Amino acid sequence: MGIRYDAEQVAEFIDGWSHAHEGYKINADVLAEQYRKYCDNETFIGQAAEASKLFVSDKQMELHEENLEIQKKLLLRYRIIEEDFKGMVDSSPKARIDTDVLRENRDHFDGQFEKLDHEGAEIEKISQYVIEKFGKYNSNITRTSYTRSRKSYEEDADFCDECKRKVEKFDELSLASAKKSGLEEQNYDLQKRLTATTSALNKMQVSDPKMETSVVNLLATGGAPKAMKMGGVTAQSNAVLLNVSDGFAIPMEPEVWYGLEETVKTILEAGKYTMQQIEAVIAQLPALATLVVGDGPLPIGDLIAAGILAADATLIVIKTAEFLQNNNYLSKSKGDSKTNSKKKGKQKAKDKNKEKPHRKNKDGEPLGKNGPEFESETKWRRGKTERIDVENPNPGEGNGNVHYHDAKGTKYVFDPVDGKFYFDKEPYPEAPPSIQRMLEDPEIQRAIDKALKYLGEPPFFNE
Amino acid sequence: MIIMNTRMQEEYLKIKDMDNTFDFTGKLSVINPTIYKVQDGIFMKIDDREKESEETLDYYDYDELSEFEWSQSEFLIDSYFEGITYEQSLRLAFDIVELWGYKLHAQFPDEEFHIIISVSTIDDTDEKIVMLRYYTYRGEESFHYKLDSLDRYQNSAIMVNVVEADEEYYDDDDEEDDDDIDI
Repeated sequence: MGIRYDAEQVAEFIDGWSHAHEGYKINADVLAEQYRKYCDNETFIGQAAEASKLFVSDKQMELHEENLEIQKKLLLRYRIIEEDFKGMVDSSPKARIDTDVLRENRDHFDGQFEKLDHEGAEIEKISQYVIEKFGKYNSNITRTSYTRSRKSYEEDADFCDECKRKVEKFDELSLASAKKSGLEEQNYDLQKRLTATTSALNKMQVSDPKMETSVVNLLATGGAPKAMKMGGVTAQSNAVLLNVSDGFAIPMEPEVWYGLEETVKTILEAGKYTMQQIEAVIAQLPALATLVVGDGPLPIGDLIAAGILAADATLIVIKTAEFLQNNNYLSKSKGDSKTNSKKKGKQKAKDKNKEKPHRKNKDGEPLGKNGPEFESETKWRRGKTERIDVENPNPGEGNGNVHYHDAKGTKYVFDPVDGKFYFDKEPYPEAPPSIQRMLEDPEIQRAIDKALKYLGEPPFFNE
Repeated sequence: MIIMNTRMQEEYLKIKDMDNTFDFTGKLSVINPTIYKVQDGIFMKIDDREKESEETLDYYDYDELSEFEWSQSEFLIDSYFEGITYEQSLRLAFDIVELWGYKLHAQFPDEEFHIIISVSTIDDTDEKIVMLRYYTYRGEESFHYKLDSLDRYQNSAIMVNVVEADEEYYDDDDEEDDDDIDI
């Protein structure tokens, strides 16, 4: 497989990582503060308490700080790679290269050149013959020459080769530089120590007759978001039922937990939400975050005691019910049914209550219901693909919409109720921050307002 | 069967005698895309577009697939071909929808497809863009264009290439059987 690099994708990745890293640092600071409070807690005394505090203040903090250091170095490494590509290969923010494609093009060029060379030579010979034989009758006969075409092909081939050389050199140097940085070994070493620490903590016996058995999966630092199972988890065939045992009444300080505004309420019922929908929620969280979902007061003390925080996992507790509701998960219950093969003329009756989201105005009416009928119109465009389109092929039937295509052509629908972009396919998750930031562009705002006006709707940005 | 609205007929007259000499080197996936099926949805992979996944299609009922196919199949000709003029785009579009029609029919002869060319002008400019899209026709209850009244699309030139299913795939009894409708 060849070497591939897409400057836009890399920039978007680094942007997303950087954003996640910032969020992670905020939560890490909060966590560190919690560690300090734990260690300074003068009501928690005794031999076990002192040992626990010493562990947290020394070992835990050391792992925590080292983890932060690695994250910082990783981000720097990504930026260095990005700058190296710009310096060594192509500085364009839209640069894209694939050496397999280059090779194919080169092969194609070679084939074409061979044909041109051979057939061109034949034509040149004939031309020469015609001039020699008939030139005396007509001095205007032009000699055919393919020299310029040959040169042009050679230049194109050289260009292909040069591009390939540059990107191969960049790849070789970047890899060597990354290996030399020692980041991989450092991270591996940290993971090993985290695992060893976790294992040691898990062996500790905590006596508390009221607690149910907790199953806790500690996360590797820097891992993807995972849903954690807490005490009393019952996994059913197509849903995760989270049950926090009664009796925990540890008061929570909202400013401690990022995103927490109130106690998480009971939100999940057996069979109503699939793992896919929960995973879609998790996908919305920044990297290095962990979703903790409960249906009662969260046992913060137990989380600490069980060693969850030992993993330096970032805890984000969200108002899950509200989040799911706002993202249209609550009304869906897809189940496991699959459609049957189509038989001509036999159709399922359409479920009139099932509507596509983000296609309603603030009054709850379908966008464009009273607007003109049109297929698709572009209200604004930048570059080859980036644009704002508006559609209303069947007014009133719920397919009127305003959407944005990014530079890669990905489609995001604009919701004029909350003013955000969403992916335009099920389950319609919110678009990433880099896309939401497009809404700060006055040109895009104007285009969206124009599109809404075209649908017969009021503007959103400039009323 | 080709159906055009009045505006498209006017546009077509401008290009119908043009030769199609545009260079397709490196863009064969546009002319000859990979057509694939996921559950009951039929999709095209053009250039570097990602394929639709089983997980995404799990969310869609059969009757919703036409609109989904239509929504996801937007294809702007000039975003794939550097330096192409509007007239060349439109000329190329007519060839592409014909080729797509053959390919779709060859792979799915029991389905009816509507392949659409639309031309619209970008607001506040004279720039015209040519867009292609398609969907599988799944009956009157599903998303579809009203082919007998395309002139209602006032600001766009529209052409629909209706690729009909082979007759042998029609049921003998074409009337709806009440027993088969799920409410």
